[in-house]
Amino acid sequence: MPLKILDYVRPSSLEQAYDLLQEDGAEILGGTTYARLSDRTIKLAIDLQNVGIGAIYEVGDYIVVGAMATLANMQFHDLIMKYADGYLYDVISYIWSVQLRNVATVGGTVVPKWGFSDFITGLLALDTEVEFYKAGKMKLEDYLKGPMIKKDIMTALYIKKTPRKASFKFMRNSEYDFSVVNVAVSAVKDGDKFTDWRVAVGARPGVAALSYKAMEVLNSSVDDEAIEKAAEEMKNELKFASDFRWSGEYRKEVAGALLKRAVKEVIG
Amino acid sequence: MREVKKSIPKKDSYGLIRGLPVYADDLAPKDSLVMKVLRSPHAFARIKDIDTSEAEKMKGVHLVLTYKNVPRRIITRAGQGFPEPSPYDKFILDEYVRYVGDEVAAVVADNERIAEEALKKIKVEYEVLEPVLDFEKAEGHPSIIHPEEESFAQFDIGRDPQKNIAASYQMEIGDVDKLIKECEEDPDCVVIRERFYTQAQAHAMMEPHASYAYIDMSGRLVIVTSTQTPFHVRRQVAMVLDIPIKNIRVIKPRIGGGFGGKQALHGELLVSYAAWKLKKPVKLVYTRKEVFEATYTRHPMRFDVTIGAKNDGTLKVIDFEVLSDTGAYGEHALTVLMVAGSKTLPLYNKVDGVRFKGKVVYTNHVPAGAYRGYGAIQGNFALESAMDILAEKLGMDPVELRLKNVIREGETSEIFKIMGEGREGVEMIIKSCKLEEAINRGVELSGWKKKRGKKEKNGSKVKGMGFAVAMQGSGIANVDMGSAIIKLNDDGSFNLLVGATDLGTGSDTILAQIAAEAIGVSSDDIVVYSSDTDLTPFDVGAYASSTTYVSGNAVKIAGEKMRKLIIKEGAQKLGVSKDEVEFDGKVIKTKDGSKSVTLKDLATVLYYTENQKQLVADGSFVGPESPPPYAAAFAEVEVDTETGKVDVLKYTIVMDIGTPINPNLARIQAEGGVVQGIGMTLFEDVKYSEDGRLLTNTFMYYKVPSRLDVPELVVEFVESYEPTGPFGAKSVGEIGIDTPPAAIANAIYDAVGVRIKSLPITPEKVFFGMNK
Amino acid sequence: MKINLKINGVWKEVEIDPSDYLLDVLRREGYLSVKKGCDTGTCGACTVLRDGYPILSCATLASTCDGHEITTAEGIADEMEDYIKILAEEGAEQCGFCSPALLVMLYALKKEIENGKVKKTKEDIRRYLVGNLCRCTGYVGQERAIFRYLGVE
Ligand SMILES: Cc1cc2nc3c(=O)[nH]c(=O)nc-3n(C[C@H](O)[C@H](O)[C@H](O)COP(=O)(O)OP(=O)(O)OC[C@H]3O[C@@H](n4cnc5c(N)ncnc54)[C@H](O)[C@@H]3O)c2cc1C
Ligand code: FES
Ligand code: FES
Repeated sequence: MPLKILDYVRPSSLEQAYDLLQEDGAEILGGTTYARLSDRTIKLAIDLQNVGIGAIYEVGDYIVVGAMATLANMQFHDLIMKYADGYLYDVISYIWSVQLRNVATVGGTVVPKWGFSDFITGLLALDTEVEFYKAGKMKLEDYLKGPMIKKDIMTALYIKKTPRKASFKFMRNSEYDFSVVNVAVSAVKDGDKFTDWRVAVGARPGVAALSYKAMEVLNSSVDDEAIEKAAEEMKNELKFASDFRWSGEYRKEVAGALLKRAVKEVIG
Repeated sequence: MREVKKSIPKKDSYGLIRGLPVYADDLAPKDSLVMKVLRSPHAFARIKDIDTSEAEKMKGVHLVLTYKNVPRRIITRAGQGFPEPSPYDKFILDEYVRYVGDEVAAVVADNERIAEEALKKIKVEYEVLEPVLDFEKAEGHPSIIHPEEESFAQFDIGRDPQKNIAASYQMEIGDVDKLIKECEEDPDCVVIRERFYTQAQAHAMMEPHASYAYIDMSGRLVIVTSTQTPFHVRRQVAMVLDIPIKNIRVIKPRIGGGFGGKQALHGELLVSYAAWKLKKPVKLVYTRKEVFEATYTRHPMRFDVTIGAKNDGTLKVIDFEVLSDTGAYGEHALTVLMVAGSKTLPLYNKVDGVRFKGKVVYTNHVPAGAYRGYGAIQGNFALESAMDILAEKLGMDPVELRLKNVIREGETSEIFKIMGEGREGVEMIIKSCKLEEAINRGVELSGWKKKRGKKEKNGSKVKGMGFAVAMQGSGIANVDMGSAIIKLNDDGSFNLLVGATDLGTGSDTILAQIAAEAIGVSSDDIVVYSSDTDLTPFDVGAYASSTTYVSGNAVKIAGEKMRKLIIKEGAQKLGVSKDEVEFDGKVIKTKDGSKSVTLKDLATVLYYTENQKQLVADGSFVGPESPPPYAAAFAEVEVDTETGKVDVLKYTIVMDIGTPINPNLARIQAEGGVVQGIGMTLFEDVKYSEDGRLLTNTFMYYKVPSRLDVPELVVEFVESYEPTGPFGAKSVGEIGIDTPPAAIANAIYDAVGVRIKSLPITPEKVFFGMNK
Repeated sequence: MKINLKINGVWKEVEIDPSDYLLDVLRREGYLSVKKGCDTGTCGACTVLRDGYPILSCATLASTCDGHEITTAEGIADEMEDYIKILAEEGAEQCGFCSPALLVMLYALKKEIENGKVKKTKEDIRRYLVGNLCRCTGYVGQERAIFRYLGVE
């Protein structure tokens, strides 16, 4: 049975939207692509297209991406294309289809913490913060680890323009599919040294998480042995589970291989 | 040949590409009532009680159907010639539900939303029964899936419902056990024994099943439906609803693909009954989920293959033992089983002994039915994988092994006579077979000799080459009948009326080409109308690769008759005997050139002024045999040793399809078939939950190949002419799909030494094959 | 509720239910080139343009399109005459169910190539079209036509 919506509003300010959201049975609409797939009733659907949180711009050291920006808006934005050699452009370009990316929003993708998400994994390897209207700003990893934030509106992503080199790797059987598992890795290039490694693994099939142990290993060395060790540490640290399509054991092994490839790509 | 062997655009391309309303759901009257079906959440259950009163009371609900208020007449939904070789084991609605998705009730309402609301209001109390979900344990399982007394078979198909056996079959040529034993004991011989599994591939045609029915001005029932077999639908609906055939008209509009999935009744019975009762138009359009969960799949099969051969590669004996899962109903159970042998084993016709033995069991899975290459692709995976294993054991190049043993022109196989589809076959000497040429050409095109066995590395990836051959048929000999009517219009154009069913394959177009060639006119002057039981003559429909060969021959006969009529009438008009005139497609003139009349003028005169009459010609054809097309295929793959992922880099297939009537359309049939075969091999995984629910029920999880998954495809046709076919044609619809499973499996083995014997070949299987 | 859509250049007031997806609204209004192939945002048969960009009409709530411009195959077929001819010549529409959406995508793709967002290479073009599934052709014939139409070597 499809989604049922009893009433629809398009408020013109965040404040108004937030107030409406407090009503019983009220929910935010993003691009409405994924909401579609659930069988439930929304009493009041709140469309954010007129509240002015769709823009992408720069503030100080940050690229700010409004929650109502579509994945395609973000993909093709100059700031995104230029940052980290267009790393996020690449991450987004592999998400499903052009037609989906033209509708699916940044907020609709980050807020629900989809486990399968390539986008979240990609962001997690950067210095990313999420901003909510009431709850304010928090690190993406804290948001992902914490409870779902209900009855609040995500307003923007803040991506710090740390001079990072990043690499995103995924494994899919069909190219037009969800990832079996995905890995994003980045590091700050400091002369010929790499520091502040970030290693994110998603679609395990749980939502993306950082492997602190792998990061620690890489922060001390990136020779072949260290890379091998980082992969092993990550495999032990993070949980991999089975779903009806792929086994946890398989995901784990593939994640290890992808991690090594990603690190090697970053160090060039 | 002027009109055939020529690539002309499809007759319907104008409307299709622009998106004109041409499919059933587009054409349904705007005021159609909408039907929705309540489906079983249980794999096996008996309905103890069903209360529809709440639903019936709803405003906008017109009718609620359950097993209590529909006729209880048993049939098979399989779209096959009568008497069908499939068991009669299905009611419109029954008190037993036999798979998750089986029909429990149907609601007819003003619109979809009301119908859906009403479904929620139907209260059903089920007695949940122990389901049979493992087809290897179905035979003799304590749960009997078809306990009903009424079910029966029209003739002996080896059915034993008490043991959950829907059909079984056995044949043997020579003493196979003895031959195997001899091989085993002979140091000059080898024997291999292998077990293979194939999965329940989904057809995944892009248009979901759709039908609507209404009552016409004479009170007759008209059914417009996305079917491959309109005439069978008419007969089946007549039988179940007890309406005379004369009071039913079935129209097949354009349909969005079928691949065998629409060679059956899916929804037609329900909409017909509702429209008949309500005397209002009723439509039923399946959701994609319903298409996955509640139509058809390919029959999953298990094969035990034994092959004995001499050390020099001469095959001595082949033994095939098959177990097939037909799911909840036995549609196409026997035919698909038999084809697993009859369209594979004759490839190696020089053996001393061959045996084929198989059972088809009922389970509580989605019913299996016909699917492009039915039986053949399953059998081909087993046989051609086994041949590769044998080649390795013999230390022979797999190509050499095939060349030594494959069937050649002028030869026969005893199997042709013994095994038909659901019954005996017919004797057949192969009149066209360019398989050897196809193999040799493919060896060149694919770079086989350079590339095989080299394990060329590229980072973590390794390349490999695999090979397989295949055969199909062209219609079902002595069973399939097609017919055609051609009439002349007053501008010299023709209407071609055929019962044949264009599923998007372009058969309307190639039949027009055949008609044009036979009459000697341009295809532009042939207007085709097909698949309307009131207006077009009979045809069994589109399945078993029959249309070009069977319907095509009927069209050719009609066309030749029309040509004779034109010459006769032309001669009369010119006042000479018919031997004195010739017809060049536009003008009928005396051989000395002294007198002439254009076809257009003749046609106008015949309509309005002199010797007035309508020129009409007909033709019917039943294939006295079913000439096989052949294919030789070469897969080049690259396996990522760190992830198990297989990329097919290039797929080369060389085919003998006789004369390609329309080379472009034939090529696309071949390409489309190969890609579906690749899908079955690598992507199209089918998963059930423990309680028998299909989990791969959306395109998100059931992965048909996307355009990024398609390799470089090299398709070539070898020069070939089938003397019994229309202008030398055989069939092309199915042969393309048969080879990828074996060819790719063999290539993976060549690359990384992992032999995957169960489809699909997922990266996970390959990975753990390498890292046990 | 009532919404206003500019469909193929003409403003229309349309009565909808807030739960309606754009696909169903368009079909109800007679734009039957828009097909429902899956309903899960996967097959692409429902593709239309919103404000010039291709979107999945099965995955977009109709209410959110209020005030926007929608283009379907009906609205661009005449402009795409050359492509239609080439696709037909290649015989690359089989059942045709996926064809109107592909037509819409090609129209958008041409614009994206012109404004430099998509590179005119086989790889980029395939990627752009990946969301349009076709079960009949195996894509190869379609792509012969598409590459010929766009002049890609
Ligand atoms: C078929 C399909 C395949 C996909 N495949 C992939 C893939 O391979 N990789 C990948 O990374 N992603 C994939 N996605 C996900 C896609 O990228 C989007 O994440 C998803 O479609 C949701 O986007 P939306 O804007 O439509 O969200 P919606 O469906 O509109 O919303 C989703 C949820 O987020 C809430 N929400 C939306 N915006 C806000 C906000 N600003 N504040 C608070 N709450 C909000 C909504 O209330 C709702 O509960 C896929 C989606 C689909 C439909
Ligand atoms: S119907 Fe929209 S993507 Fe399939
Ligand atoms: S032509 Fe049939 S789905 Fe594409």
